[in-house]
Amino acid sequence: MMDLITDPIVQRMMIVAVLVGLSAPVVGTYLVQRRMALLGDGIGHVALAGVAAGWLAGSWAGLAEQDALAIPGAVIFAVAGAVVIERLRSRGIAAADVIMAILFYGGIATGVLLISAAGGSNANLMGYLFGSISTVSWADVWVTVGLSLAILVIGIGLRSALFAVTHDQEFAQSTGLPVAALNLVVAVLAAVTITASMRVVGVLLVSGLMILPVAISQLVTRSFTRTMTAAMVIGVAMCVTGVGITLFHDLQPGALIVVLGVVLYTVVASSAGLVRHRRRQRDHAAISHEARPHTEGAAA
Amino acid sequence: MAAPEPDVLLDGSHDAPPAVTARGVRVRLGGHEVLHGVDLDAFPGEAVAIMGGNGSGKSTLVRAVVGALPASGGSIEIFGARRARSVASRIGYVPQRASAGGGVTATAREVVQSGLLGASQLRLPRDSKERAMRALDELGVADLARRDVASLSGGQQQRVLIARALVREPDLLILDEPMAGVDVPSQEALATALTARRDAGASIIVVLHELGLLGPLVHHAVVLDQGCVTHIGEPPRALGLHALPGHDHEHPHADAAEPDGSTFAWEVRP
Repeated sequence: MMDLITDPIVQRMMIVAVLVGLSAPVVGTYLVQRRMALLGDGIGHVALAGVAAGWLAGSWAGLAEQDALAIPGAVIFAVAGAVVIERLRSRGIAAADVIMAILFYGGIATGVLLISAAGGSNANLMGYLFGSISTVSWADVWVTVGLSLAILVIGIGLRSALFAVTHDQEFAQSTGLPVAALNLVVAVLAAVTITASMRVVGVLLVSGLMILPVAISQLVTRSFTRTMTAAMVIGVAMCVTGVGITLFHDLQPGALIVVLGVVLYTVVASSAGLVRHRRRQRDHAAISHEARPHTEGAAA
Repeated sequence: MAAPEPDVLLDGSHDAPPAVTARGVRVRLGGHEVLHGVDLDAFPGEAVAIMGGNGSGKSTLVRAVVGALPASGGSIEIFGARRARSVASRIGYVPQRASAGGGVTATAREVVQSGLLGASQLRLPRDSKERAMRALDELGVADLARRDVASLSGGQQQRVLIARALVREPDLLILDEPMAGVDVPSQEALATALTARRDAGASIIVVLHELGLLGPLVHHAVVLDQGCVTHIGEPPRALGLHALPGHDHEHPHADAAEPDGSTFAWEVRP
């Protein structure tokens, strides 16, 4: 066990798992609040094109590490994609969903084509699609630290304003809040979160890490602040448990983390349903018990 | 609870500057003009009802006033300023309830606290909880502060949204159909709270389908029909009319029948 704790690879994996598990649900809370839970999925598709473009640029520049520009490429493409999607949404363009579909599938197809054109293997592609946390370097760790801190500082620091805008945009506009700028903040935060989480769960599963902790948290909380806080705890628990299990079993970490989240959601949802059912039965029994003496008295 | 006269001088003018002066307001939605040059005045201590049938442009007008929709023509001045955002801290807005709500649960107190934010206030003030509780208490729903707003009844939700506007201690209160789908006790609570605010000097603009319990609060009405003003002045009920053109439904329960068997609901005076 001590060997595992002192192993630099394990240390890097755990640091990244904690940071991503902590920050992804913060942004996920705003996306669920705005009923745009699938936005992360779409931006993830666009981010893959950025990864590939960075890869191709690295290949052309003759860099020693071909994928050195993959993360910067993903950040640029994801942010650009998020801004375009936000513009479409805020202007209420009728064909916005079709344009978004073109953007998403164009992104993933371009990504696959460019990675193969740059000489990338299927293994490289799979790493970006489904995550490859065991290959993170210390440089990757520092990038993740920077991105996660930015997400946490902005996402939590502006929580009240972002809540107001995502809860009721029309009211927020009437208060003078800079609604357009705050909407853009949510979109850019989503893009940055996807890039930061990409190494852990991959672009295809990143939305699961943003949304599942919020969905689980919602089952047991009533306030927005507590939902976000509990989702952060659940996110860390999902990531650390998932990565921890893969230290002992040869499983794909990204997929395992998301499956753990789905299992946890099912268990909590069933338990919450059971508790509500029992409470209703108890209340019903109490009402019947109170009513009985009167009935008996009347009968007598 | 009859409406007291606002600060009106003998010649009919007001001694206080207007809260809202809108002239020839035009608004386009989806390529079509839905407001065709509408005028609106509201003064401090005065309640104005905007009335009319479905699709007459009532909500569009108040959304343009608060800056949620851009006007394609005309002018809107709020406390003398051309941009609603520069005086937003003095405005309390209650949108139609259908527009409120998100995918994550939020307590009534959190929703009311969000009313304390503004152009230069991106974070909640330290006393936001106490102020939110006072506003909820004013509407008689302080006991619901920790409840998820989505689980509340229509009337309770409406009270929470009005508390969110009142917590701003606004000089101009704009409400879009606050009585729609609201039970009678909630309507009474809203009428009491709004009357107190009007008497304290706030200007109130309220979109209504019918005057109902807010009738005694209202000084004058602006009636819209297909984006045009068809009447400005006494509220329809005060004129002995149940409704003016644009009012698209009848209320057999509301008006006593005339001796000849007719009701005011069908009488329209020029």
